[in-house]
Amino acid sequence: MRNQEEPSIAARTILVALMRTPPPTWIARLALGAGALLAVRLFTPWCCGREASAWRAGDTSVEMPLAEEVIAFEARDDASRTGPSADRFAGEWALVTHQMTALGLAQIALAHPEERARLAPEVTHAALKAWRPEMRGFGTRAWGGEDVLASLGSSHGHAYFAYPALAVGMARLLDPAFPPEVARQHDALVAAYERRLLASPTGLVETYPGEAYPTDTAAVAAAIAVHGRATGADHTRVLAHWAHCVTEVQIDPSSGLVIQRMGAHDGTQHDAPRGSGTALAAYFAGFADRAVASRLAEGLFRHEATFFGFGAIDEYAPGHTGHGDVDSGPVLLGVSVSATGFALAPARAFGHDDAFDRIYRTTALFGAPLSSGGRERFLSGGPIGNALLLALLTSGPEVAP
Amino acid sequence: MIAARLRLLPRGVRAAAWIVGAYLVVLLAFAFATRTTGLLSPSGAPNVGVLALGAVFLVLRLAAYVVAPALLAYAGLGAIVSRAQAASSARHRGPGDGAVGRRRFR
Repeated sequence: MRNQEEPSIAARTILVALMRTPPPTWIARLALGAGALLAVRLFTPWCCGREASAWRAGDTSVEMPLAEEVIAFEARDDASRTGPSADRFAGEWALVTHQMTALGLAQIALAHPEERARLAPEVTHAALKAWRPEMRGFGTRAWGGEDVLASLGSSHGHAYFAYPALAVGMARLLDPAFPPEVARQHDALVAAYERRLLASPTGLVETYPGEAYPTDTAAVAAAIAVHGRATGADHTRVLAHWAHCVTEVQIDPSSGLVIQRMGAHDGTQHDAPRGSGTALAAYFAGFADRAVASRLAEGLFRHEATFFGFGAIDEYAPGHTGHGDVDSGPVLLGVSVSATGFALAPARAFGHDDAFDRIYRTTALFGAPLSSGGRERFLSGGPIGNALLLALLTSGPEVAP
Repeated sequence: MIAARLRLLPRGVRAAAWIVGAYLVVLLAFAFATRTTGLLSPSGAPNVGVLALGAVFLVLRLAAYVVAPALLAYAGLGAIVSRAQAASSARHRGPGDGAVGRRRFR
């Protein structure tokens, strides 16, 4: 009778073959090294990119587990949140987490109408959390205590609040039960943004005093455009003005990237043309103007660095250098975490399939997706990473016709 | 007995096994540590302990996805080449020459 502890014949054969392997000559070592490199070149990208095609195809078998994870996070956050964050960047993270949760779920609902009845209330839930006063506390403090909704008649931009405004617009588009009192505030905010944007010769709206970011202004344009879709209001004129200014003022002609930070009134460059701002601007621009978004995407993918089947986006345009910051995340070997992750959205929405696959492999390698209990989460990203990736990996249905 | 046999495996295979084993252990620990907070929680400052664990996790993940397959491929291809050469030399020498499957490259 065969001993249960004995290895099988196949396992024994492999073990014996490996044990008997003689030390090779240097020529053989070189050939074996090349073979090992080839094996890694084939195996590692395949292993990291197994789900890329499913994400590109909008397969609910990959979308819904991540959606379930962000929905579960929102429920946990409801139970644990105690008050506003005193730190601007922590506040911005909270705002972006809820906004991106709403956008990602809304995009799935648009792509899969059968999920709409279930997801629409979740979209509203996340959008309303981003709308709360404590979520914009960082912006109120930056403007010396001036609340965005209490100063709609002023010329102060408060462009950071376009992020929740866009989420609320998507919720209004999908959820017939959206609270009417918040809808009225949203109408008034969008009217203020429209007036401020039309009054700006540079097509920029200040985020904080003296600081304007083309990316945040793209979020303003997106919020205005989605408001039009949700309510039937005509915003054609302001969106045309914004699209003209992006092309004429905000894009660096030599690199095709948008300038990260600019003077709102005179359009002077306050920072370099950068990948992180361009990639996120391309995503937001898609809500408002397909041509502008497509142009930003074309510029962005000129700065893709590829290696062994993996892709990443350079943070700085050639001739510019800098360190990582809150916008870019860590910059390693010239490529940034944020630019690379954000690029997934325009890659998917505008059919850059090869770039999408390469960048998804990088995202999976460093993001470390893990499935468990019917949910999927990216271990390295945490809640904000999951929310961002849900929105970016499902981008497409939200793009303006 | 299995441990003794494993000690006879080429160093590359043993190193790959160690890398993958260590990666799986740290993966479990990191998945547990990030189940509610994450590296970049919007609720407050990043947790230094989770960040440190995350750094170890990412290094081991890279090793498990890049170094371990290379080591395994090197050892596996080496075994295949060695056996093929041994079989080839046995055919040329004919029966009775001995050392079948044991001839060294050098």
